[in-house]
Amino acid sequence: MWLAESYERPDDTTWLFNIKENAVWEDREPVNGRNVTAEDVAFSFEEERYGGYPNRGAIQPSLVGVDAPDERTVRFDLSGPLAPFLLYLGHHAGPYVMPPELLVDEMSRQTMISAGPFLLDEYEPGSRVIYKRNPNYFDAPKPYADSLVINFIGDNSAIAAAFLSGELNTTWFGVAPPIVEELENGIPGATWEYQPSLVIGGVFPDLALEPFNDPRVRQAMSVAIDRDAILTVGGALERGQWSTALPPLAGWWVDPKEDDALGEFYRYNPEKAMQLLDAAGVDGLDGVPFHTTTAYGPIFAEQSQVVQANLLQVGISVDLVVNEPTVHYSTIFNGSNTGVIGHTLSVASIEPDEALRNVFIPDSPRSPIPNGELMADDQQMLDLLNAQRTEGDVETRKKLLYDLQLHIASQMYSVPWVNPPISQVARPELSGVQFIQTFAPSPSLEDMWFNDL
Amino acid sequence: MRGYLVRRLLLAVLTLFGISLIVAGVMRTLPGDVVDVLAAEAFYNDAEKERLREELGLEAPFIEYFGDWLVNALQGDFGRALRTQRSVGDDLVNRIDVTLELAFLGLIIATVISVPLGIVAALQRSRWPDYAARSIAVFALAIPGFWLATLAIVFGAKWFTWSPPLGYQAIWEAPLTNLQQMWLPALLFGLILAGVQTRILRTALLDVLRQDYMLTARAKGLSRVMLLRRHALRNSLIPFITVIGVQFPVVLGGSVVFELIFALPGVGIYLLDGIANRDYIVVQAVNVWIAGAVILTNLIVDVSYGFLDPRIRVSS
Repeated sequence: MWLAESYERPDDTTWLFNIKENAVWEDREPVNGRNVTAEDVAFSFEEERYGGYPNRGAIQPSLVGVDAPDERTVRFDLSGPLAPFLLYLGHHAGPYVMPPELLVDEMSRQTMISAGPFLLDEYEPGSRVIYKRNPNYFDAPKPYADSLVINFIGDNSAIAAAFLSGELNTTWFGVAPPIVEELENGIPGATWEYQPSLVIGGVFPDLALEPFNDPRVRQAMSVAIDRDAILTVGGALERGQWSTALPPLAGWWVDPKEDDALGEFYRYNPEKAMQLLDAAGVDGLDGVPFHTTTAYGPIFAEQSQVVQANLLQVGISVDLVVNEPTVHYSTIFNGSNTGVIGHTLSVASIEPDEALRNVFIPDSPRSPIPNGELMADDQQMLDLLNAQRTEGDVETRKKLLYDLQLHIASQMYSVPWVNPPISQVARPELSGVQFIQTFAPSPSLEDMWFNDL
Repeated sequence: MRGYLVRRLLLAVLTLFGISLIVAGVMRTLPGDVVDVLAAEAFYNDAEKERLREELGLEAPFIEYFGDWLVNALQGDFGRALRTQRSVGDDLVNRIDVTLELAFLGLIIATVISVPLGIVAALQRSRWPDYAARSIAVFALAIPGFWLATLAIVFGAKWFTWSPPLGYQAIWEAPLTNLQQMWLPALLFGLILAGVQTRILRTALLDVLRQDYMLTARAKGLSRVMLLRRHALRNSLIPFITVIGVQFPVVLGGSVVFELIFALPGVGIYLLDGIANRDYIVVQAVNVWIAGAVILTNLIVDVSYGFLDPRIRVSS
């Protein structure tokens, strides 16, 4: 999106973009500072090249073709209206624009060529990445910082120590709640940003596993879980939120605490859980395999124990299995382990279409729901999913997304999880700098360039 | 001596082959592979996973895979990491100096701490200096490295607003920065290692001090210092050196904790990431390197016996 000087939409399925005239690739082999062209963009989106990559699939299902009528114009032809098209162009679900030269001798695997504000200067695997200012950046005089150093630190205490001592100017993600207090008190004038989480997660029962194939049993699990108690384990009760079928950062997420109709499906209510189980003819369950993981840190597995205790209160006894990350990613994370209840986080997403399609499209390779293809019978959900994706009117789309959240809650294909906030702290010298986890074109991203310094 | 060395080197080659085979086999039996890890980030469908597995050579039979790896490794090519497609040989070279520096500094500091403590403990047996030295040794043995490192780094920042500089700098590139980065992890590592060394040296010294020849030497009028330097210490060095040799693989493996907490890009972290990512190529290369280092260290220790005690002949 930053590359575009302007854009227009002659009709619902055609988009035309004008590429900025002064956008150039960096001055080294194999591009040697040549202009970024419309051909580069069209090449990057070329359906054949990305057709086999589902991780680039957010636009792909709607893309008929991309071509470059002239050096600066890119034309996208869609099979139908696509509401999140502009956002998808600018975030990680869309193809990255790269010069075709990088595919020669698989150079793209070894090097990075940029036309953006920073250029890759040094990469020390496992240690740090150093970016330097692009002197030929098309939006000069930005960026104002000469370099950007990103350090990989695997230990929370080490992150806190490096921040307190001034080795780090800012941290993003990964500061555990107990350390937050230390950092807050340790640096007078430090600024804090808390953002809602974009992570979807939850407890995912196998839809074919009896009695979890009954929506009433899944609903019972949802209201048996004390979500605030789970947030307390992570030390994030104050700022934590509850997911619905959408994560809190996604557009048009509805807070179940504020909405009575949705809240019915999520508020802690063990008595109601017992009633639902009675109605489903379930009188206690024993030894149900419940898989969790250490992939998201120790707190996640502790939270699974709270779920275990909550379920036991309503007569569902689960056997906790803690998987190491790779086992988790190859089984529970992609819903391939049938016959069990899985507990996992899933894809980070801010666009409701992407968030919902990842998990609830029956054949989605991204869905953690075991036997998710059984959702193919839910025509109402599939119609709503399609309608919100193509609806251009904001208010109508918002209503469709509310209906979807309510419908999915009634079916409870997954029992949604809680979302501790993402915290970012900056030392006083970087006051005003804010990382926005949208992966989307946003004026706030310019703050990364230290405008205020 | 030459025959002995040739035999040991042949044995080393066989050992390295065996280790490579075992590591490759064990890695294959672990659930999940690198494609599962990549798929978790990129969400490939089954067909795409299949294609990637073929492209990365994961579908090849084990014998074929191991044979190819072995032929390339013998030519000095350890292949490309499955996940990053970077040269494993280059990555190892870049990381070995970090781990070796940490290991050597740790061992040197451990020796500097343990030798005086061990001597004092032995000479002042069952008196307060002995109790103090043994308490320090037990403390060093008992305390977990990660806990000590975490305390040091957190309180260093809290009390002195100091933590080691980030981004490893080799000692020949920026000596001062390197020392700023390495002194604390090396000191803590050395303290942990000093526990075993102190106890071994104390026991060995006590054993030597009880020998008849020590009484004879004393009767001849040798000063206490000379007695210690010429007879007691030298004769106690064999078990001490053996322990240092045995500690070396522990040091290489144990360095991962310090690499993690002090953000040092060493071999330990590389191996840990390789295992987590099921990157067989990385894990095999690192294991061959560690095994090679251990074999070499043991050889050096064995050969050094002959210099420390002329009665020992390596040919025997």
